[in-house]
Amino acid sequence: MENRETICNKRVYCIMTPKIHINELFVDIAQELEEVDKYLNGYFIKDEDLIKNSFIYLLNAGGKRLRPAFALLASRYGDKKGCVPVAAAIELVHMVSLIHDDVIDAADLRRGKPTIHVLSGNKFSVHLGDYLFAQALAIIDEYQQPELSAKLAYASMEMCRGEIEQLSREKSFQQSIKNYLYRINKKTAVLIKMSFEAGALVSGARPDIVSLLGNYGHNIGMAFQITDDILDCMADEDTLGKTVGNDINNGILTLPLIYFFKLADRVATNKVKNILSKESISKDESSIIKELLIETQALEYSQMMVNQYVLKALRQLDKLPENRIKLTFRQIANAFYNYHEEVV
Amino acid sequence: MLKKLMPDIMPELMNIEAKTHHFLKSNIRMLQNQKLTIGQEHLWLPLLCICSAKTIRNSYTKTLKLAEIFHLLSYATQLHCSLPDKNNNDKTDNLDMKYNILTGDLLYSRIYYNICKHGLQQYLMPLSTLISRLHESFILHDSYGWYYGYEIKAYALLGESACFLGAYSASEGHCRLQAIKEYGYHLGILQGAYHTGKNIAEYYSSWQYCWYNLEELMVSDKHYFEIILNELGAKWRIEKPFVTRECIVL
Repeated sequence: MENRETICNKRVYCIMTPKIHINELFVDIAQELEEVDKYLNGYFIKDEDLIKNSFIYLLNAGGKRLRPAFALLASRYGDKKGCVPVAAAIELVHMVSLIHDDVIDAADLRRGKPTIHVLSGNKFSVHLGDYLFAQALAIIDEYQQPELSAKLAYASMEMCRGEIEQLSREKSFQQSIKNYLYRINKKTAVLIKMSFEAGALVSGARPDIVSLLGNYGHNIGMAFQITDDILDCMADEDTLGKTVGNDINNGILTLPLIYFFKLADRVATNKVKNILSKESISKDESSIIKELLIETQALEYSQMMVNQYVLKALRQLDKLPENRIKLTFRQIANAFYNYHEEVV
Repeated sequence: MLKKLMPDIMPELMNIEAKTHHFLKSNIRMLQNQKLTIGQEHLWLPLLCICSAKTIRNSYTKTLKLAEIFHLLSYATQLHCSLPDKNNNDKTDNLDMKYNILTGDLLYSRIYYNICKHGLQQYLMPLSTLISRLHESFILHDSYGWYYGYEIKAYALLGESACFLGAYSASEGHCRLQAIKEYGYHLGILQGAYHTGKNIAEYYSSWQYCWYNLEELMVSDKHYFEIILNELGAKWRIEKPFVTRECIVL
């Protein structure tokens, strides 16, 4: 745990800590989060060395463990124990999506370390992802809760649909905000929503609470992804812990750029279109885009969208019973509010 | 060939194919204006699954759902096995690779979704074990190369699972299914040997085991399995052996 935090601290600070540090946010579940890592380490201990070593490499590369943390926090709304395996399975599904995304995006680095496909090839990465996905299903099956399985099944299928939607719109400048929101909901928000619901379900929380937590999770997931997209345009690599401008380089239009195309004049629009149409984009060209995004206030508009989701998330919280975890959820939501001003 | 093998199962197989086509076309924009061709070889596992169930009983709603899952599994596995190990500079090749990864992922998650939707939770563990063992074999083969017969092993696992789970779906645990399981395992070996260009003669013991297990089956209707073996025997030019367990040549 200590090792993992040391590696990912920069990223953790960037996303979550203008107002509060992640250690404070997850203090109630710190021990269980450690158990998630131990569980995952133990789960693959008897596997073939190749699989085990690659998995441990991925596990030790860091990561915020946000999804398991959300599941563990949500589990406090019920009486039953035993949320660690489901939290681990959710992290596995997330890891699988990252492994496959790295092959698709031809990304060289993940959390500051070479990606699996750089080390072992595309085929190995994809097979490893499939192997881990199957293991995640096996873990979930141990709960014998059809509703839980159904939610993860739905989430994993929607994640694939989101990725396919994104790929099919690469280099397309004709995208609406609606398309974008549809895509990020599937790509990111669905699994975050599911993390909250899974934690609550496993702990035996009331159905109305499961639903409220799911709605809260959806809004947090949307806010999280838009914030990530703003950071991809604005932050520097040291702060972000991964390659900046990845989406722009891959021709993926995110909310700041969609707003830009709505707000900018024809000259500026053509300038950016010309840059985005290129095979690869230089640092200078990225800087030009960055300046234009600031000039046209595209980032402010994007942040306003984040704020709307934060407010919606907070409204869901109002309906939940008062407790210590609710305060944590409020702090998580607040961390995204007007966040970009601090980065810019 | 597979569809013609058993005309009475053909409507079910065509239905399974149509469902997979529809699912892919409605989810993948790139495929919407193209003719989607999924090879007939992917009907092999659904066929085994249905035949195994029919050997036990003729009523089999769950079996058809399971056969659909095997069709998705067969295609998803092929997509992920056919990827290039390194990206090249050809944009079209890279785009195809990206679609193959995502389509495979979509099919795997569809398998999971179907299991939950159709109340097949009892098959989740055997299917997830099958998927992980398959990909473990592929990883070992791709990494070590020398891992002997990984492809054959994958075919054997698939054949065994399709036969066993198909029969189980019809019997609901009331029959002894060991012989069907072994039949599927050895049939898978033979299929694997044939498709990977191996000499079938080297796998003659599996041919004998298939017939031996057929004899061992405690069911009245074995004709589906007999049709399969006779068809394969004709294709590979090998005749039905005289078998007892003692005379199987290893």
